[in-house]
Amino acid sequence: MSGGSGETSDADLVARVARGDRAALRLLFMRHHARVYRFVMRQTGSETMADDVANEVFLEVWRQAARFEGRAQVSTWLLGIARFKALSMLRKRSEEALDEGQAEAVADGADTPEVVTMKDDKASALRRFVDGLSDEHREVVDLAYYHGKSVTEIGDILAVPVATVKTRMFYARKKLGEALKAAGYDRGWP
Amino acid sequence: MNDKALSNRRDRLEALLPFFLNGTLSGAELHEVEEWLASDPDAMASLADAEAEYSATMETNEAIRPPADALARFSEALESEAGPQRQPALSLRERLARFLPSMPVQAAWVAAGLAIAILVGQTVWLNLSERTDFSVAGTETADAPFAFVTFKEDAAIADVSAALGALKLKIDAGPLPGGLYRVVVPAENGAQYDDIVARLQETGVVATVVAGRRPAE
Repeated sequence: MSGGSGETSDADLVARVARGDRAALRLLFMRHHARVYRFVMRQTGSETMADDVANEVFLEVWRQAARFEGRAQVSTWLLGIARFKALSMLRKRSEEALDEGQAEAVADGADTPEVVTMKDDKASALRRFVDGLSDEHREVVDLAYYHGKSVTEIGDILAVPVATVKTRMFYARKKLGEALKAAGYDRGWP
Repeated sequence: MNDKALSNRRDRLEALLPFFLNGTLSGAELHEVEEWLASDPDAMASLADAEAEYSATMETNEAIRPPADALARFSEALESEAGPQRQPALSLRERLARFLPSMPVQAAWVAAGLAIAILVGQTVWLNLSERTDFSVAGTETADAPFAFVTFKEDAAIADVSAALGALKLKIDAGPLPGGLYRVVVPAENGAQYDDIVARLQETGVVATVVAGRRPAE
């Protein structure tokens, strides 16, 4: 999101933030917070972590706005920061026991596709299969379909080569196709 | 093209379909996908599958609701932040310290001597002068209504100046302890004073306004 006609662009807002303009940062927050929050929520599965990380991302923008070089879109930059912070937080908490909520989520996700599909139609089955992808695969699917990012931008956010992005997308889509077929739904490929 | 080559091509194009759908594909890859969609009946079925994935991913993301009070809490956290690292303003002494070492020693002595001479000259001139057509800040506003004001730390001087100018306000003392400035309020009665103070509070450059001398009704 870089701002439409007559609207201040994201890059201009970042430049204002670099000069200490808090109002510009609030505007940037309003534009991008939901997407950053959802991105982290999908990565971590924790509302608390998504909330903390999303806030931290924008505070980081406040501290580091002068370092934004404008090579990438602001939204790509934000998602890159969010991913790094989410991974750091996940690593830090990896030794902590799963709380009750997380344990329930894991148990829920552990349903076999067949069991789940009995009560779902194709669209809701597909939503569940997208949710059930591995982190690596779900990330590229989310970044392409929901965040509208290009192969190169996803490579920047995940810090991987573009060939890796394509490979992950290939396997992600293949797994979705296989899961749908196994659940008895039509699917042309693979 | 043999079966294996066709299969490899299909796999590669399937991986590009999401980027075709989100409009970020370009150049040779875009051309290749378009050509495939136009020539292969299976390609349209694949595109429909990708569209279903697209919808499912959008829905599953949008089902996540960020907290409603996120902005309010972020604003609080932001207020406690010091601010981006910027070049700190240099004091006169620091500026001189940076300036003088770069000069040859003799030139530095000459510069320092000239500065002292100018200072002495100004002092003598002022002491000998009998002119009295200047005023000391505060004397002409000794009985005027005033308010105490603190400005937001990120307020630019130009914005402060514009805001005060628009309300015909003048700073006549400060900064006092606590970062307070005394601002002369050109009000003839209490209602006028209250109105000006309220408008001052709404300018966006002011952090707090404390009533000082308020005229009677």
